[in-house]
Amino acid sequence: MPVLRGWLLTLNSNDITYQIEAEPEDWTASSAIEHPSGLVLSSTGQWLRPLLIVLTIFTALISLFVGVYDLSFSQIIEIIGASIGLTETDISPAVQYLLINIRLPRICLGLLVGAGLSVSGAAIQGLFRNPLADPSLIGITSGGMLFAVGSIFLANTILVELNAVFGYATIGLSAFLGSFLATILIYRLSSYQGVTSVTTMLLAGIAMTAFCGAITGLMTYLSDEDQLRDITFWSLGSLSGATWSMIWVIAGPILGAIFFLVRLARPLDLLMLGEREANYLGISVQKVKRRVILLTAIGVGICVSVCGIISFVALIVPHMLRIISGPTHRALLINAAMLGAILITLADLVARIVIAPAELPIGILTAILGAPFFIGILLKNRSQ
Amino acid sequence: MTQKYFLLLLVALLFFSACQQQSAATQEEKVEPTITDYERIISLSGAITETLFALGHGDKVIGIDVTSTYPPEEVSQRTQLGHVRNLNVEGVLSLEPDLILVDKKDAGNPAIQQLRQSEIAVLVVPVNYTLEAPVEIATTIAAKLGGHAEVQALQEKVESAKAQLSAITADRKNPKVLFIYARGAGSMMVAGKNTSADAMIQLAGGVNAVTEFEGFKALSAEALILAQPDVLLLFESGLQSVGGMEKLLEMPGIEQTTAGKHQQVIAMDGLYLLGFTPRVGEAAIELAEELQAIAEKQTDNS
Repeated sequence: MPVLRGWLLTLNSNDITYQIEAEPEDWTASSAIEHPSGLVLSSTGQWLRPLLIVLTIFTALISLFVGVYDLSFSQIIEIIGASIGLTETDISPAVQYLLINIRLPRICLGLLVGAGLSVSGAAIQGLFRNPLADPSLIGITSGGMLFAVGSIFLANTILVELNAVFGYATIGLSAFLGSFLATILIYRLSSYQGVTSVTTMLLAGIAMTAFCGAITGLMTYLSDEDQLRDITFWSLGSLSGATWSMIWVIAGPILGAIFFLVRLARPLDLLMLGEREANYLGISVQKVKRRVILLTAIGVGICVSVCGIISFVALIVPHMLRIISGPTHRALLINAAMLGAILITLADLVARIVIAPAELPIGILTAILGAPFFIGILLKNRSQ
Repeated sequence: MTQKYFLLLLVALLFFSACQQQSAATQEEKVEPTITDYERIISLSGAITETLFALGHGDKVIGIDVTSTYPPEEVSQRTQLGHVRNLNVEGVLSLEPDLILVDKKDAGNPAIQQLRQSEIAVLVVPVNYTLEAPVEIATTIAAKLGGHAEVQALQEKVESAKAQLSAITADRKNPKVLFIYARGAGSMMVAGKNTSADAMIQLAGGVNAVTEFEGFKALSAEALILAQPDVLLLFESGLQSVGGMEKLLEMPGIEQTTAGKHQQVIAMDGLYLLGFTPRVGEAAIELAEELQAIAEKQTDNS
C-alpha cells in the first residue's frame, strides 16, 4: 500500500496541530488497485458513476413530472413538444408557462447549484486536507451573507439608485461581490512571500466569519419587519427565483468552475501527501491553491448569489462519496457534481410540495435531512 | 491572467442579466388585463383581502397570504399561501386563479414578476398610510370587479370617521405616543417618521414621540427616557412577545417615562391598527378615544 493514508493528516503551524484520523481502509476499498500515479484507485467507483448518471436523469425527470400543479404525463409531453415546435397544443398558456418557465428552469438551477456546491466542497476539503472544511471556511458564505443583508438593509437609503437599476437582482450581485471579496481578502491575509499557509487561511476564515457574522447580526437587529423577512428567507435559501435568463448567465461560470476543478484532480491527489511532498513530485502547490480558491469562489459565490445559503451539501456530498468510492479526486469531483445535483433537486422537490401551495425554504430541508443522515454514515463507518 | 478575464466576463454577464430582467419588468407594467369576470381571486395582502370582503367579493377569494387575518371566520377557510416574499409560484398557479391582487410595495418581487408573465391578471393595489387608504384600495378593486355602491358606502364611513376624529381630538393637549414594534424582549424597535405607525398616531390626534429619524430603529433605554412618551403603543402580539404588560413596564428606561409611571400602554391588533384596512376609521377612533382618556387623566393629575 503506497504512502497515501486516507485522512490521517496533520496540519502543523507553530503549536497548533489539527489531527483528523480515520481508518484508511474506510476510504479505499479492500479490492483497491494501483493507479499509475501510485495512488489508490477504488474499484467501487466503477459502478458508481453510471449509477449516478442514471440517478441524475431519473431525479430530473421525477422533478419535472411531480409538482403542486397536477399535470399528467401526456400533458407534459404535449407542452414540451409544443414548446420546441413539434406539436400543437390547446393547453392554457398559464399551464404551459408554469412547466416551461417555472418548473423547468428551477430543475436546471437545482442541478447546477447542487453540482457547483458539491464539487467546490470536495475541492476545498482536498486543498485543506481536512474533512471538516467546506466553502464557508474561506469566508464565501459569510461574505456573501454580509453583503446580501447589507443590500437588503440599505435598499431604501444608500442603495436606492442601485436598486432602481437592478431591482431584486441587487441582492444576488451584492452576495457574489461579498463572497468574492471575502475570499480574496482571506487569501491575501494568509499569503506571505508568495506562499499561502492553509492553516492561516483556516484561522483567517474563522475570524472573517465571526466578523461578518457580527456586522450581519447588527444589521439584522436594526432592520424592520419587511427587511427581516427578506433576510430570513434569503439566509434559508430558495430556488424559487429561477428564470431562464438566470440559468443562461450562471451555467457557464458554474460548469466552467467544475470543469477546471476536475482538471486539478491530480494535483489535489498529490497534495494529500503533504505540501512538501507534492512539491517534490513536481506540483506547483501555490498555483494549485490559487486556482482552487478562485474557482471555488466563483462556483460557490454564484450559487449563493442566486439561491441564498443552502447549508450542508458542500460538506456532506464529498464525505458520502469518499466513504463509498475512496479519496481519488478525479472520481470524487465528477461523482460529487452528480450526487450534489441529485440531492439539491430532490430537496427542492420536497420544498415545493411538502407544505403546498406554500413553500418551505430549501436550506431548512438540506440541514434537517442532511444532518441525521450524515451522523448515520459516521456511526456506521465507526462500527466497521 | 486568463482567470482575471474570465472573472470580468462573468461579472459583466451578471450585470447584463440583471439589466435584462429589469427591462422585462418595466415592459410588463404597461400590459393591462382586460377581462372583467373574475371568479377565482388570490389576495396577497391583509388590507386588500379585507377590502375584498367589504366590497362583497369575499366568496370569490380562493387564496390568501399570511397577513390576511380578517374576517377571521372567512379567511380560515381559504387556502393559505404563506408569506408574499416566499411564494411558491407553482403553488399559486395550482389554485388556478384568474386574478391576483398584490400590494404595490411587493410588486417588484421576482415571484410576482413570474406570475405576471404567466398571463394571469395581476392587479397592483397601492396601500397608503391615510384614512382614505381603504377607499383608494376599494376604487382600484372596483374598477376591475365592480362594487361601486360599496365603495360609496366606504367613502361615507371614512367621512363620518373623519368628523368623529376631529370632534374627539379638537381642543386637547396632544399626548406623545411611542409605537414599539416588539419581536420578543431582545428585539424592540420604535417607529420614526414616515412609518405606518407615525401616520396612525397622527390620525388619532397624537404626536409621535420620535421625530429624529425616519423608519424603524432599535429601542434603547436612554433614547426612551429622552423621548419621554406619554403613551406606549404596541401590537397585541408584540406585547405578548415581551411577556405582557408587567414585563414591559419592568424594562429599563420604561419606568422613567410618563407612560411607564402611569402605566399608559395601549395594545391593539396589528392588522386592525396599522393595516389601513376598511376598519382604519374605527381603529383611529378607538385609538383617539384611548388617547383622550389618557389626556384627561393627565389634566386631572396636574
